[in-house]
Amino acid sequence: MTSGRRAVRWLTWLAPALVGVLFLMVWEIWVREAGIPPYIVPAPSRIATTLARDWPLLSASLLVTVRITLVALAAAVVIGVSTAFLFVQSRAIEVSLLPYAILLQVTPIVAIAPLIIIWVDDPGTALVICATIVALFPMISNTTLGLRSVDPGLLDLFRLYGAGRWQMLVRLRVPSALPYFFAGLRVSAGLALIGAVVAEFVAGTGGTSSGLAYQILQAGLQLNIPRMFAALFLIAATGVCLFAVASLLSWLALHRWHESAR
Amino acid sequence: MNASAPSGPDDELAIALRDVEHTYASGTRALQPTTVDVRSGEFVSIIGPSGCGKSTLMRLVAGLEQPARGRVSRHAGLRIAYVFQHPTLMPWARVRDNVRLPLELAGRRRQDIDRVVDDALVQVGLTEFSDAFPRELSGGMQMRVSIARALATEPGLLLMDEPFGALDEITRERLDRELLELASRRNLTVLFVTHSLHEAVYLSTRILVMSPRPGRVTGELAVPDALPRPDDFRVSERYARLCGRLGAMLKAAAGT
Repeated sequence: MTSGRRAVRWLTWLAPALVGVLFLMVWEIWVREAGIPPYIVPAPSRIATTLARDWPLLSASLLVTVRITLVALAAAVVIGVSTAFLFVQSRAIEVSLLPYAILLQVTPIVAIAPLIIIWVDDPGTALVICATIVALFPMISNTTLGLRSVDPGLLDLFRLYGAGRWQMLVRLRVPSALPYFFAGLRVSAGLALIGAVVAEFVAGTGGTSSGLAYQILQAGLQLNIPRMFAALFLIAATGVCLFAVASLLSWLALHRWHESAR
Repeated sequence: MNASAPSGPDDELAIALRDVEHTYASGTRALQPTTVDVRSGEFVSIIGPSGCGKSTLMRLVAGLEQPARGRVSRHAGLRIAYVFQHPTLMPWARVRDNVRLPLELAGRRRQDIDRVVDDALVQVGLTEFSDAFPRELSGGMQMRVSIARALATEPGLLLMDEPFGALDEITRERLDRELLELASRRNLTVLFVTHSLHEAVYLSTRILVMSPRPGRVTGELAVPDALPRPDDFRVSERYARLCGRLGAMLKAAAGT
């Protein structure tokens, strides 16, 4: 039974890895055999060597993008959670503010970014603001939902034993909201990265600090397709890492008691 | 009229409901004028069909609902504990911390809490599991935690709303026996809701029969046999006769 389960766990790692390797092999062979030039589609080996050769340049850009993403994510968590707390304190506040939160969510960031970039002098700050806007909504909606999703029996219990408003919040609503919060965090982590990259594309200018989107733009202009792929790979890898870290945090907080993290 | 004056009309009375009526916000009439007394040391069961307002009655006693009409009085300083139909444990907290909750909310001293909680866990036989999380326990054990949490408050009145209804027959019989032992050892005053007339007769000193919705008390059966009752009480002829009588009362209540 346990050996069977272990085999399944191995398979969940092995099977996708195998598909990946197979895909890269087919890609490599196809590019070589068909004689496709690297400025159309570079071979995986070519992308890897470019990544190694351009590492000083690309790693600096990676750092910029990661920094913008993490600052934006932190801001989204702080603002999102505070807003959610505000919402559950009073229906009136929620009803008056929620439409604007939704408005912010449904308006494409590409459309707002130029304004923000004009208004905010520091391009780094402008990009953080754009990425925060993109990442914000899941934090607000999930945390609000979580703070409201309290077992009515436990609510009765707390009332019966004379819990105050503050005790209800800290000892009942906050723990009940944790699974929802972490589900939101996983979505927001990816969105913060998307926001950071998209906003930099719109900004178009590297300024003193140029992120991976700028490298892709520049490489595109120079028809340096291998470098484009290398930068793209780094963005994707960053997204996967963010998701993994968010999942790990969620697991650490929930695995002892919540079904989702079994 | 929704007074919960902290003075009972009689020193012996734990709670007294006088002509209490209740209608939910949805307009559903849950209770017709109902009068119920529970004296200290009694084990009173309420029995009736589903939706007859038994749970509403319990919630009124606990103060979780206010009566539309009538009066609920509680003995001065009466501490009420409530064991719900489901264990209602905080899934993120260990067994020990679940039992501590009401004492911490009441602002009791830490050393006090430790002693009382340890004692409550001994009473329900869960000392070894004090560091477990609720989901690591079986349904019956979770219910024991819920009972320990209620006992830890040293209640003057223990409300139990079909506490063993979701458990299998074997576990249920064992918990019934344990509860009866606890009730007589600690001289508990209990108001107990159940569907099962066998459970009602086995546990109670007095049984109230309720009619279908909107509910009211239509009959009362006393079971004067001393607590705790011997194991063979459940197979005695007297027990069977009492169950038969209660069954007839239930049928009559359903007919009205």
